[in-house]
Amino acid sequence: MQVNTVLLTVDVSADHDRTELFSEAARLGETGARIVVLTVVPEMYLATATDPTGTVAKMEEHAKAQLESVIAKSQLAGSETRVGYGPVAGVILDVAEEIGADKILIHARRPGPASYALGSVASRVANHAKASVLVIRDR
Amino acid sequence: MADTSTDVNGSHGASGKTWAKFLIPSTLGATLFLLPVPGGDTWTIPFGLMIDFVNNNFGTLVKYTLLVVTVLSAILSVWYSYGPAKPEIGTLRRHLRGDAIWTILRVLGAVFTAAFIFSIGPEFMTSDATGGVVVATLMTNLLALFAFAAFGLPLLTDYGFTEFVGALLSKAFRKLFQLPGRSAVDGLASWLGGSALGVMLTTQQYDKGVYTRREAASVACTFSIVSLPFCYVIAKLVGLADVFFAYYGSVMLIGFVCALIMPRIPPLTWIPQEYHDDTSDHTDTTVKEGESLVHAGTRLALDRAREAPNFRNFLKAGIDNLVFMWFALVPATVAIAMIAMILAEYTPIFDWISAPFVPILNFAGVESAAEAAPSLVVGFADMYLPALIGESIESKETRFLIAILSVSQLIYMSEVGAILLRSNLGLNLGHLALIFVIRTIIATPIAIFLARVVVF
Repeated sequence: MQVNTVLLTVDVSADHDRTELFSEAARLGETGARIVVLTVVPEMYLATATDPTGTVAKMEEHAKAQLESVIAKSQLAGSETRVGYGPVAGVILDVAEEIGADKILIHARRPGPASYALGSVASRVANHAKASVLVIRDR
Repeated sequence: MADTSTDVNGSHGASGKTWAKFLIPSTLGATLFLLPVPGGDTWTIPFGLMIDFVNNNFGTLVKYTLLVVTVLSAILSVWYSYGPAKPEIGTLRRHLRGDAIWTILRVLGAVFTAAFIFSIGPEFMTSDATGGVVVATLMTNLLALFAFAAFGLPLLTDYGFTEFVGALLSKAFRKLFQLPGRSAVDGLASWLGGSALGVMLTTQQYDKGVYTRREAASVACTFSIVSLPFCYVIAKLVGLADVFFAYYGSVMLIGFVCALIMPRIPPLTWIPQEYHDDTSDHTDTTVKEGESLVHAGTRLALDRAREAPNFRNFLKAGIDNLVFMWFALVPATVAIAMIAMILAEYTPIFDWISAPFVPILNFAGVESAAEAAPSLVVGFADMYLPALIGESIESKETRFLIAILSVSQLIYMSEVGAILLRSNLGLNLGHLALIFVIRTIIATPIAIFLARVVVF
Protein backbone atom coordinates (compact mmCIF):
# COMPACT_ATOMS: atom_id res chain seq x y z
CA MET A 1 0.00 0.00 0.00
CA GLN A 2 1.33 3.42 -0.93
CA VAL A 3 2.14 5.58 2.11
CA ASN A 4 1.34 9.22 1.34
CA THR A 5 2.08 11.07 4.57
CA VAL A 6 4.47 10.03 7.33
CA LEU A 7 4.63 11.60 10.77
CA LEU A 8 8.15 11.16 12.14
CA THR A 9 8.29 11.92 15.88
CA VAL A 10 11.58 12.96 17.45
CA ASP A 11 12.38 13.54 21.13
CA VAL A 12 15.05 16.23 20.87
CA SER A 13 15.70 16.32 24.63
CA ALA A 14 17.12 12.79 24.64
CA ASP A 15 20.36 11.71 23.05
CA HIS A 16 19.96 8.38 21.31
CA ASP A 17 20.73 6.63 18.07
CA ARG A 18 18.18 7.76 15.50
CA THR A 19 19.79 6.00 12.54
CA GLU A 20 17.08 3.36 12.08
CA LEU A 21 14.26 5.85 12.68
CA PHE A 22 15.59 8.29 10.08
CA SER A 23 16.53 5.55 7.61
CA GLU A 24 12.97 4.25 7.67
CA ALA A 25 11.61 7.79 7.15
CA ALA A 26 14.06 8.41 4.31
CA ARG A 27 13.06 5.11 2.68
CA LEU A 28 9.40 6.13 2.78
CA GLY A 29 10.34 9.59 1.50
CA GLU A 30 12.02 8.02 -1.51
CA THR A 31 8.71 6.38 -2.42
CA GLY A 32 7.14 9.83 -2.67
CA ALA A 33 5.65 10.15 0.81
CA ARG A 34 5.45 13.56 2.48
CA ILE A 35 7.57 13.52 5.66
CA VAL A 36 6.49 15.72 8.58
CA VAL A 37 8.89 15.74 11.53
CA LEU A 38 7.36 16.53 14.92
CA THR A 39 8.78 17.16 18.36
CA VAL A 40 6.64 17.86 21.42
CA VAL A 41 7.47 19.98 24.47
CA PRO A 42 5.69 18.22 27.35
CA GLU A 43 3.66 20.23 29.84
CA MET A 44 5.91 21.85 32.43
CA TYR A 45 5.03 22.78 36.00
CA LEU A 46 5.95 26.47 35.77
CA ALA A 47 4.99 27.17 39.36
CA THR A 48 6.95 30.40 39.72
CA ALA A 49 6.76 31.73 36.19
CA THR A 50 4.85 34.97 35.89
CA ASP A 51 4.97 34.70 32.11
CA PRO A 52 4.23 31.00 31.59
CA THR A 53 2.90 31.47 28.06
CA GLY A 54 6.06 33.39 27.10
CA THR A 55 8.21 30.71 28.73
CA VAL A 56 6.40 27.95 26.83
CA ALA A 57 6.87 29.93 23.60
CA LYS A 58 10.61 30.09 24.30
CA MET A 59 10.68 26.33 24.99
CA GLU A 60 8.97 25.74 21.65
CA GLU A 61 11.50 27.99 19.88
CA HIS A 62 14.34 26.08 21.54
CA ALA A 63 12.81 22.72 20.60
CA LYS A 64 12.39 23.91 17.00
CA ALA A 65 16.04 24.98 16.85
CA GLN A 66 17.11 21.60 18.24
CA LEU A 67 14.86 19.71 15.84
CA GLU A 68 16.10 21.63 12.82
CA SER A 69 19.68 21.04 13.90
CA VAL A 70 19.06 17.28 14.20
CA ILE A 71 17.24 17.10 10.86
CA ALA A 72 19.80 19.23 9.01
CA LYS A 73 22.50 16.70 9.89
CA SER A 74 20.44 13.76 8.63
CA GLN A 75 19.33 12.46 5.26
CA LEU A 76 15.96 14.15 5.96
CA ALA A 77 17.34 17.71 5.61
CA GLY A 78 14.70 20.01 4.17
CA SER A 79 11.74 18.06 5.60
CA GLU A 80 8.76 19.90 7.05
CA THR A 81 9.08 20.36 10.83
CA ARG A 82 6.52 21.01 13.54
CA VAL A 83 6.66 21.67 17.28
CA GLY A 84 3.80 20.94 19.66
CA TYR A 85 3.17 21.56 23.35
CA GLY A 86 1.12 19.44 25.72
CA PRO A 87 0.65 15.76 26.56
CA VAL A 88 3.13 14.13 24.20
CA ALA A 89 1.01 11.18 23.01
CA GLY A 90 -2.08 13.39 22.67
CA VAL A 91 -0.28 15.98 20.57
CA ILE A 92 1.24 13.29 18.30
CA LEU A 93 -2.24 11.83 17.72
CA ASP A 94 -3.71 15.29 17.02
CA VAL A 95 -0.99 16.22 14.53
CA ALA A 96 -1.24 12.81 12.84
CA GLU A 97 -4.96 13.40 12.27
CA GLU A 98 -4.45 16.99 11.22
CA ILE A 99 -1.94 16.13 8.48
CA GLY A 100 -3.73 12.94 7.49
CA ALA A 101 -0.75 10.75 8.33
CA ASP A 102 -1.06 7.16 7.24
CA LYS A 103 2.08 6.10 9.05
CA ILE A 104 3.62 7.26 12.34
CA LEU A 105 7.27 6.52 13.11
CA ILE A 106 8.20 6.68 16.75
CA HIS A 107 11.23 5.76 18.84
CA ALA A 108 10.85 3.88 22.13
CA ARG A 109 13.37 3.21 24.84
CA ARG A 110 13.76 -0.28 26.23
CA PRO A 111 10.83 -0.87 28.59
CA GLY A 112 11.69 -0.35 32.26
CA PRO A 113 9.63 -0.66 35.47
CA ALA A 114 8.08 2.78 34.91
CA SER A 115 6.72 1.90 31.48
CA TYR A 116 5.18 -1.29 32.87
CA ALA A 117 3.33 0.77 35.47
CA LEU A 118 2.49 3.87 33.45
CA GLY A 119 2.84 2.80 29.83
CA SER A 120 4.96 4.75 27.40
CA VAL A 121 4.29 7.44 24.84
CA ALA A 122 4.88 4.90 22.07
CA SER A 123 2.38 2.43 23.52
CA ARG A 124 -0.27 5.14 23.90
CA VAL A 125 0.27 6.29 20.33
CA ALA A 126 0.19 2.71 19.04
CA ASN A 127 -3.01 2.00 20.97
CA HIS A 128 -4.96 5.06 19.86
CA ALA A 129 -3.65 6.13 16.45
CA LYS A 130 -5.82 5.71 13.37
CA ALA A 131 -2.65 5.42 11.27
CA SER A 132 -0.24 2.50 11.31
CA VAL A 133 2.52 2.95 13.86
CA LEU A 134 6.08 1.69 13.53
CA VAL A 135 7.88 1.62 16.89
CA ILE A 136 11.67 1.58 16.62
CA ARG A 137 13.34 0.21 19.74
CA ASP A 138 16.70 1.17 21.21
CA ARG A 139 19.21 -1.51 20.35
CA MET B 1 1.34 49.81 15.39
CA ALA B 2 5.09 49.25 15.69
CA ASP B 3 7.38 52.27 15.43
CA THR B 4 9.07 51.91 12.09
CA SER B 5 11.77 54.55 12.47
CA THR B 6 14.88 52.45 12.02
CA ASP B 7 17.39 52.77 14.82
CA VAL B 8 19.76 49.88 14.91
CA ASN B 9 22.81 51.67 16.20
CA GLY B 10 21.51 53.70 19.08
CA SER B 11 18.76 55.88 20.43
CA HIS B 12 19.13 58.53 17.70
CA GLY B 13 16.11 58.48 15.49
CA ALA B 14 13.86 56.70 18.00
CA SER B 15 10.48 58.35 17.99
CA GLY B 16 8.83 59.94 20.99
CA LYS B 17 6.38 57.05 20.92
CA THR B 18 9.19 54.52 21.34
CA TRP B 19 10.70 56.52 24.19
CA ALA B 20 7.27 56.68 25.84
CA LYS B 21 6.84 52.93 25.33
CA PHE B 22 10.13 52.38 27.15
CA LEU B 23 9.87 55.01 29.88
CA ILE B 24 6.22 54.89 30.99
CA PRO B 25 5.81 51.11 31.55
CA SER B 26 9.36 50.79 32.95
CA THR B 27 8.84 53.60 35.45
CA LEU B 28 5.48 52.20 36.45
CA GLY B 29 6.93 48.69 36.83
CA ALA B 30 9.95 49.89 38.81
CA THR B 31 7.62 51.84 41.11
CA LEU B 32 5.38 48.82 41.66
CA PHE B 33 8.09 46.27 42.34
CA LEU B 34 11.23 48.07 43.44
CA LEU B 35 10.26 51.30 45.21
CA PRO B 36 10.49 51.08 49.01
CA VAL B 37 7.34 52.46 50.62
CA PRO B 38 6.26 52.53 54.26
CA GLY B 39 3.88 49.69 55.15
CA GLY B 40 2.77 49.58 58.80
CA ASP B 41 5.85 49.68 61.03
CA THR B 42 8.24 48.77 58.26
CA TRP B 43 9.17 49.25 54.61
CA THR B 44 7.74 47.22 51.79
CA ILE B 45 7.02 47.51 48.05
CA PRO B 46 3.74 48.73 46.51
CA PHE B 47 3.24 45.24 45.06
CA GLY B 48 3.32 43.79 48.60
CA LEU B 49 0.84 46.42 49.79
CA MET B 50 -1.52 45.47 46.96
CA ILE B 51 -1.40 41.76 47.85
CA ASP B 52 -1.97 42.56 51.52
CA PHE B 53 -4.83 44.94 50.70
CA VAL B 54 -6.64 42.30 48.66
CA ASN B 55 -6.14 39.57 51.24
CA ASN B 56 -7.04 41.79 54.20
CA ASN B 57 -10.17 43.29 52.64
CA PHE B 58 -11.39 40.62 50.27
CA GLY B 59 -10.17 37.47 52.03
CA THR B 60 -13.49 35.63 51.70
CA LEU B 61 -13.80 36.55 48.04
CA VAL B 62 -10.23 35.33 47.35
CA LYS B 63 -10.96 32.08 49.21
CA TYR B 64 -14.07 31.36 47.16
CA THR B 65 -12.34 32.45 43.95
CA LEU B 66 -9.71 29.81 44.73
CA LEU B 67 -12.48 27.25 45.19
CA VAL B 68 -14.12 28.17 41.88
CA VAL B 69 -10.75 28.16 40.06
CA THR B 70 -9.68 24.75 41.39
CA VAL B 71 -13.07 23.08 40.82
CA LEU B 72 -13.44 24.53 37.30
CA SER B 73 -9.87 23.54 36.50
CA ALA B 74 -10.51 19.95 37.64
CA ILE B 75 -13.71 19.64 35.61
CA LEU B 76 -12.22 21.22 32.48
CA SER B 77 -9.00 19.20 32.74
CA VAL B 78 -10.98 15.96 32.82
CA TRP B 79 -13.19 17.21 29.97
CA TYR B 80 -10.38 18.42 27.71
CA SER B 81 -8.15 15.42 28.41
CA TYR B 82 -10.69 12.61 28.38
CA GLY B 83 -14.02 14.11 27.25
CA PRO B 84 -15.86 12.34 24.44
CA ALA B 85 -16.18 15.44 22.25
CA LYS B 86 -13.07 17.56 22.24
CA PRO B 87 -13.67 21.18 21.20
CA GLU B 88 -11.32 23.06 18.90
CA ILE B 89 -7.93 23.98 20.36
CA GLY B 90 -8.38 27.16 22.38
CA THR B 91 -6.63 28.87 25.26
CA LEU B 92 -8.25 26.70 27.91
CA ARG B 93 -7.72 23.47 26.03
CA ARG B 94 -4.08 24.32 25.42
CA HIS B 95 -3.54 25.13 29.08
CA LEU B 96 -5.61 22.37 30.62
CA ARG B 97 -5.27 19.30 28.47
CA GLY B 98 -2.62 17.14 30.04
CA ASP B 99 -1.31 13.72 30.86
CA ALA B 100 -3.01 11.73 33.61
CA ILE B 101 -0.67 13.06 36.29
CA TRP B 102 -1.74 16.66 35.58
CA THR B 103 -5.42 15.79 35.64
CA ILE B 104 -5.01 13.86 38.90
CA LEU B 105 -3.13 16.80 40.49
CA ARG B 106 -5.82 19.29 39.45
CA VAL B 107 -8.64 17.07 40.73
CA LEU B 108 -6.75 16.61 44.00
CA GLY B 109 -6.25 20.40 44.17
CA ALA B 110 -10.02 20.91 43.95
CA VAL B 111 -10.71 18.19 46.54
CA PHE B 112 -8.16 19.61 49.01
CA THR B 113 -9.43 23.17 48.56
CA ALA B 114 -13.11 22.23 48.97
CA ALA B 115 -12.34 19.97 51.94
CA PHE B 116 -10.55 22.76 53.79
CA ILE B 117 -12.99 25.56 52.95
CA PHE B 118 -16.08 23.53 53.92
CA SER B 119 -14.29 21.60 56.72
CA ILE B 120 -15.45 18.31 55.24
CA GLY B 121 -13.29 15.22 55.18
CA PRO B 122 -10.46 13.73 57.19
CA GLU B 123 -8.48 15.85 59.58
CA PHE B 124 -5.30 15.60 57.49
CA MET B 125 -7.06 17.69 54.82
CA THR B 126 -8.90 20.15 57.03
CA SER B 127 -6.41 20.93 59.79
CA ASP B 128 -4.76 24.34 60.07
CA ALA B 129 -1.34 22.69 59.85
CA THR B 130 -2.06 21.38 56.34
CA GLY B 131 -5.03 23.04 54.61
CA GLY B 132 -4.63 26.14 56.77
CA VAL B 133 -1.06 26.72 55.61
CA VAL B 134 -1.57 25.72 51.98
CA VAL B 135 -5.07 26.93 51.14
CA ALA B 136 -5.60 29.79 53.57
CA THR B 137 -2.09 31.26 53.50
CA LEU B 138 0.03 30.20 50.52
CA MET B 139 -2.63 29.92 47.84
CA THR B 140 -4.63 33.03 48.69
CA ASN B 141 -1.39 35.00 48.50
CA LEU B 142 -0.41 33.31 45.27
CA LEU B 143 -3.81 33.94 43.71
CA ALA B 144 -3.42 37.67 44.33
CA LEU B 145 0.26 37.58 43.33
CA PHE B 146 -0.54 35.97 39.99
CA ALA B 147 -3.29 38.48 39.28
CA PHE B 148 -1.00 41.47 39.86
CA ALA B 149 2.16 39.89 38.48
CA ALA B 150 0.50 38.81 35.22
CA PHE B 151 -0.09 42.47 34.41
CA GLY B 152 2.64 44.15 36.49
CA LEU B 153 5.83 42.23 35.72
CA PRO B 154 5.62 42.56 31.92
CA LEU B 155 6.06 46.29 32.54
CA LEU B 156 9.58 45.47 33.71
CA THR B 157 10.37 42.59 31.40
CA ASP B 158 8.77 43.53 28.06
CA TYR B 159 9.36 47.27 27.62
CA GLY B 160 13.13 47.64 27.91
CA PHE B 161 13.80 47.97 31.65
CA THR B 162 15.57 44.60 31.87
CA GLU B 163 17.76 45.37 28.84
CA PHE B 164 18.61 48.85 30.13
CA VAL B 165 19.66 47.78 33.63
CA GLY B 166 21.23 44.57 32.29
CA ALA B 167 23.48 46.54 29.95
CA LEU B 168 24.54 48.82 32.83
CA LEU B 169 25.55 45.73 34.83
CA SER B 170 27.12 43.85 31.93
CA LYS B 171 30.69 45.03 32.52
CA ALA B 172 30.51 44.09 36.20
CA PHE B 173 29.17 40.65 35.31
CA ARG B 174 31.98 40.12 32.83
CA LYS B 175 34.67 41.12 35.31
CA LEU B 176 33.27 39.54 38.46
CA PHE B 177 31.81 36.34 37.12
CA GLN B 178 33.91 35.84 33.96
CA LEU B 179 30.72 35.58 31.93
CA PRO B 180 29.63 37.38 28.76
CA GLY B 181 27.96 40.73 29.44
CA ARG B 182 24.70 39.34 28.08
CA SER B 183 24.41 37.25 31.28
CA ALA B 184 23.43 40.41 33.17
CA VAL B 185 20.33 40.76 31.00
CA ASP B 186 19.43 37.08 31.42
CA GLY B 187 20.06 37.24 35.17
CA LEU B 188 17.81 40.25 35.50
CA ALA B 189 15.13 38.51 33.44
CA SER B 190 15.16 35.75 36.08
CA TRP B 191 15.03 38.10 39.04
CA LEU B 192 12.17 40.03 37.52
CA GLY B 193 10.38 37.57 35.27
CA GLY B 194 11.01 34.17 36.82
CA SER B 195 13.62 31.47 36.85
CA ALA B 196 12.05 29.37 34.07
CA LEU B 197 12.14 32.35 31.72
CA GLY B 198 15.75 33.06 32.70
CA VAL B 199 16.81 29.49 31.93
CA MET B 200 15.10 29.57 28.55
CA LEU B 201 16.61 32.93 27.57
CA THR B 202 20.03 31.59 28.55
CA THR B 203 19.49 28.39 26.57
CA GLN B 204 18.53 30.44 23.53
CA GLN B 205 21.76 32.43 23.83
CA TYR B 206 23.61 29.10 23.72
CA ASP B 207 21.58 28.08 20.66
CA LYS B 208 22.60 31.35 19.00
CA GLY B 209 26.27 30.86 19.85
CA VAL B 210 26.62 33.79 22.30
CA TYR B 211 27.43 31.53 25.27
CA THR B 212 29.53 28.40 25.37
CA ARG B 213 27.87 25.36 26.89
CA ARG B 214 29.69 25.97 30.20
CA GLU B 215 28.83 29.67 30.23
CA ALA B 216 25.16 28.93 29.58
CA ALA B 217 25.09 26.27 32.31
CA SER B 218 26.83 28.71 34.68
CA VAL B 219 24.37 31.51 33.98
CA ALA B 220 21.37 29.17 34.28
CA CYS B 221 22.61 27.58 37.53
CA THR B 222 23.76 30.84 39.08
CA PHE B 223 21.31 33.59 38.27
CA SER B 224 18.01 31.79 37.69
CA ILE B 225 16.46 32.55 41.05
CA VAL B 226 12.72 32.93 41.47
CA SER B 227 11.34 36.36 40.75
CA LEU B 228 11.06 39.13 43.30
CA PRO B 229 7.28 38.78 43.91
CA PHE B 230 7.72 35.13 44.88
CA CYS B 231 10.41 36.12 47.34
CA TYR B 232 7.82 38.43 48.90
CA VAL B 233 5.33 35.57 49.20
CA ILE B 234 7.99 33.31 50.78
CA ALA B 235 8.85 36.07 53.27
CA LYS B 236 5.16 36.50 54.05
CA LEU B 237 4.60 32.76 54.41
CA VAL B 238 7.26 32.47 57.12
CA GLY B 239 6.08 35.66 58.84
CA LEU B 240 9.02 37.84 57.79
CA ALA B 241 7.33 40.35 55.49
CA ASP B 242 8.34 43.03 58.00
CA VAL B 243 12.02 42.43 57.17
CA PHE B 244 11.49 41.92 53.45
CA PHE B 245 14.24 44.27 52.33
CA ALA B 246 16.77 42.70 54.69
CA TYR B 247 15.63 39.29 53.50
CA TYR B 248 15.85 40.16 49.81
CA GLY B 249 19.18 41.91 50.34
CA SER B 250 20.47 38.73 52.00
CA VAL B 251 19.23 36.63 49.07
CA MET B 252 21.07 38.98 46.69
CA LEU B 253 24.27 38.87 48.74
CA ILE B 254 24.24 35.07 48.92
CA GLY B 255 23.45 34.93 45.20
CA PHE B 256 26.46 37.17 44.58
CA VAL B 257 28.79 34.96 46.65
CA CYS B 258 27.47 31.82 44.92
CA ALA B 259 27.96 33.50 41.53
CA LEU B 260 31.60 34.22 42.39
CA ILE B 261 32.26 30.63 43.46
CA MET B 262 30.02 28.32 41.41
CA PRO B 263 31.35 28.95 37.86
CA ARG B 264 34.90 28.34 39.13
CA ILE B 265 34.35 24.89 40.66
CA PRO B 266 32.87 21.53 39.62
CA PRO B 267 30.38 20.50 38.45
CA LEU B 268 30.14 23.60 36.24
CA THR B 269 33.83 23.40 35.30
CA TRP B 270 33.18 19.85 34.09
CA ILE B 271 30.89 21.18 31.36
CA PRO B 272 32.83 21.60 28.10
CA GLN B 273 33.74 25.15 27.08
CA GLU B 274 32.34 24.72 23.57
CA TYR B 275 29.90 26.61 21.37
CA HIS B 276 26.83 25.10 19.75
CA ASP B 277 27.86 23.10 16.68
CA ASP B 278 25.71 25.07 14.25
CA THR B 279 27.02 28.51 15.20
CA SER B 280 30.02 30.48 13.99
CA ASP B 281 29.39 34.06 15.17
CA HIS B 282 30.05 34.23 18.91
CA THR B 283 29.91 38.00 19.29
CA ASP B 284 28.16 39.32 22.35
CA THR B 285 26.48 42.48 21.05
CA THR B 286 25.12 43.58 24.42
CA VAL B 287 27.70 46.39 24.53
CA LYS B 288 29.38 47.12 21.20
CA GLU B 289 33.02 48.14 20.80
CA GLY B 290 33.53 51.74 21.95
CA GLU B 291 29.96 52.09 23.18
CA SER B 292 29.18 53.43 26.68
CA LEU B 293 27.04 51.30 29.01
CA VAL B 294 24.26 53.90 29.11
CA HIS B 295 24.23 54.15 25.33
CA ALA B 296 24.13 50.36 24.99
CA GLY B 297 21.36 50.12 27.59
CA THR B 298 19.31 52.79 25.84
CA ARG B 299 19.81 51.14 22.45
CA LEU B 300 18.75 47.72 23.75
CA ALA B 301 15.84 49.15 25.74
CA LEU B 302 14.50 51.13 22.78
CA ASP B 303 14.91 48.11 20.50
CA ARG B 304 12.86 46.09 22.97
CA ALA B 305 10.25 48.83 23.46
CA ARG B 306 9.86 49.15 19.69
CA GLU B 307 8.84 45.47 19.48
CA ALA B 308 6.85 45.50 22.74
CA PRO B 309 3.11 44.82 22.68
CA ASN B 310 0.67 47.71 22.47
CA PHE B 311 -1.87 48.22 25.26
CA ARG B 312 -4.43 45.86 23.74
CA ASN B 313 -1.90 43.05 23.26
CA PHE B 314 -0.47 43.75 26.71
CA LEU B 315 -3.91 43.12 28.23
CA LYS B 316 -4.45 40.07 26.02
CA ALA B 317 -1.09 38.54 27.05
CA GLY B 318 -1.80 39.36 30.71
CA ILE B 319 -5.17 37.59 30.59
CA ASP B 320 -3.65 34.58 28.81
CA ASN B 321 -0.95 34.33 31.46
CA LEU B 322 -3.47 34.76 34.25
CA VAL B 323 -5.66 31.96 32.88
CA PHE B 324 -2.57 29.73 32.62
CA MET B 325 -1.42 30.53 36.15
CA TRP B 326 -4.82 30.33 37.83
CA PHE B 327 -6.33 27.35 36.04
CA ALA B 328 -3.30 25.25 35.07
CA LEU B 329 -0.80 25.94 37.86
CA VAL B 330 -2.69 26.95 41.01
CA PRO B 331 -4.66 23.68 41.43
CA ALA B 332 -1.54 21.58 40.83
CA THR B 333 0.36 23.70 43.35
CA VAL B 334 -2.40 23.14 45.95
CA ALA B 335 -2.13 19.39 45.41
CA ILE B 336 1.68 19.20 45.54
CA ALA B 337 1.91 21.49 48.58
CA MET B 338 -0.86 19.61 50.41
CA ILE B 339 0.71 16.22 49.75
CA ALA B 340 4.03 17.55 51.08
CA MET B 341 2.37 19.04 54.16
CA ILE B 342 0.44 15.85 54.87
CA LEU B 343 3.68 13.85 54.60
CA ALA B 344 5.45 16.35 56.85
CA GLU B 345 2.71 16.46 59.50
CA TYR B 346 1.51 12.87 59.55
CA THR B 347 4.53 10.76 58.58
CA PRO B 348 8.19 10.69 59.67
CA ILE B 349 9.46 10.55 56.04
CA PHE B 350 11.01 14.03 55.97
CA ASP B 351 12.53 13.48 59.43
CA TRP B 352 14.24 10.33 58.18
CA ILE B 353 15.51 11.99 55.02
CA SER B 354 16.89 14.98 56.88
CA ALA B 355 18.29 13.15 59.94
CA PRO B 356 21.94 13.49 58.83
CA PHE B 357 21.60 17.28 58.74
CA VAL B 358 20.33 17.69 62.31
CA PRO B 359 23.80 17.40 63.96
CA ILE B 360 25.24 19.86 61.40
CA LEU B 361 22.56 22.43 62.16
CA ASN B 362 22.96 21.82 65.88
CA PHE B 363 26.70 22.36 65.50
CA ALA B 364 25.98 25.63 63.67
CA GLY B 365 23.82 26.70 66.60
CA VAL B 366 20.56 26.78 64.63
CA GLU B 367 17.56 26.80 66.95
CA SER B 368 14.94 24.07 66.37
CA ALA B 369 17.50 22.17 64.28
CA ALA B 370 15.40 19.00 64.06
CA GLU B 371 12.40 20.96 62.74
CA ALA B 372 14.54 22.98 60.34
CA ALA B 373 16.50 20.06 58.87
CA PRO B 374 13.73 18.81 56.53
CA SER B 375 13.57 22.27 54.97
CA LEU B 376 17.18 21.95 53.87
CA VAL B 377 16.41 18.83 51.87
CA VAL B 378 12.91 19.24 50.46
CA GLY B 379 13.85 22.37 48.54
CA PHE B 380 15.37 20.10 45.90
CA ALA B 381 11.86 18.89 45.09
CA ASP B 382 10.02 22.22 45.08
CA MET B 383 10.74 25.82 45.99
CA TYR B 384 7.68 26.31 48.21
CA LEU B 385 8.24 23.25 50.40
CA PRO B 386 10.97 24.55 52.77
CA ALA B 387 8.92 27.62 53.70
CA LEU B 388 5.70 25.59 54.01
CA ILE B 389 7.31 23.05 56.33
CA GLY B 390 9.23 25.64 58.31
CA GLU B 391 6.59 28.35 58.66
CA SER B 392 5.50 27.19 62.15
CA ILE B 393 9.01 27.13 63.66
CA GLU B 394 9.12 29.54 66.57
CA SER B 395 12.63 30.94 66.07
CA LYS B 396 12.64 33.94 63.73
CA GLU B 397 16.30 33.31 62.88
CA THR B 398 15.57 29.76 61.80
CA ARG B 399 12.61 30.86 59.68
CA PHE B 400 14.86 33.50 58.11
CA LEU B 401 17.40 30.80 57.28
CA ILE B 402 14.71 28.59 55.74
CA ALA B 403 13.23 31.44 53.68
CA ILE B 404 16.67 32.29 52.33
CA LEU B 405 17.56 28.70 51.53
CA SER B 406 14.28 28.06 49.71
CA VAL B 407 15.27 30.76 47.20
CA SER B 408 19.07 30.53 47.30
CA GLN B 409 19.30 26.78 46.75
CA LEU B 410 18.02 27.68 43.27
CA ILE B 411 17.70 24.17 41.85
CA TYR B 412 14.31 22.54 42.39
CA MET B 413 13.27 19.68 40.23
CA SER B 414 9.60 20.60 39.89
CA GLU B 415 10.48 23.54 37.63
CA VAL B 416 14.02 24.82 37.03
CA GLY B 417 15.64 21.39 37.33
CA ALA B 418 13.21 19.82 34.85
CA ILE B 419 13.79 22.62 32.36
CA LEU B 420 17.57 22.40 32.75
CA LEU B 421 17.46 18.66 32.10
CA ARG B 422 15.42 19.23 28.94
CA SER B 423 17.79 21.88 27.63
CA ASN B 424 20.93 20.66 25.91
CA LEU B 425 23.40 22.35 28.25
CA GLY B 426 25.03 19.09 29.35
CA LEU B 427 23.68 19.11 32.90
CA ASN B 428 22.43 15.84 34.38
CA LEU B 429 20.59 15.03 37.60
CA GLY B 430 23.89 14.39 39.43
CA HIS B 431 25.21 17.82 38.44
CA LEU B 432 22.01 19.49 39.61
CA ALA B 433 22.04 17.64 42.96
CA LEU B 434 25.67 18.66 43.48
CA ILE B 435 24.91 22.30 42.64
CA PHE B 436 22.00 22.22 45.09
CA VAL B 437 24.23 20.84 47.86
CA ILE B 438 27.09 23.28 47.20
CA ARG B 439 24.72 26.26 47.16
CA THR B 440 23.22 25.05 50.45
CA ILE B 441 26.69 24.75 51.98
CA ILE B 442 27.60 28.28 50.84
CA ALA B 443 24.28 29.87 51.78
CA THR B 444 23.70 28.36 55.22
CA PRO B 445 26.57 29.97 57.21
CA ILE B 446 26.07 33.35 55.51
CA ALA B 447 22.34 33.27 56.25
CA ILE B 448 22.97 32.31 59.90
CA PHE B 449 25.53 35.13 60.24
CA LEU B 450 23.22 37.69 58.62
CA ALA B 451 20.27 36.60 60.74
CA ARG B 452 22.23 36.95 63.98
CA VAL B 453 24.41 39.94 63.31
CA VAL B 454 22.57 42.09 60.80
CA VAL B 455 18.83 41.43 60.72
CA PHE B 456 17.59 40.51 64.22
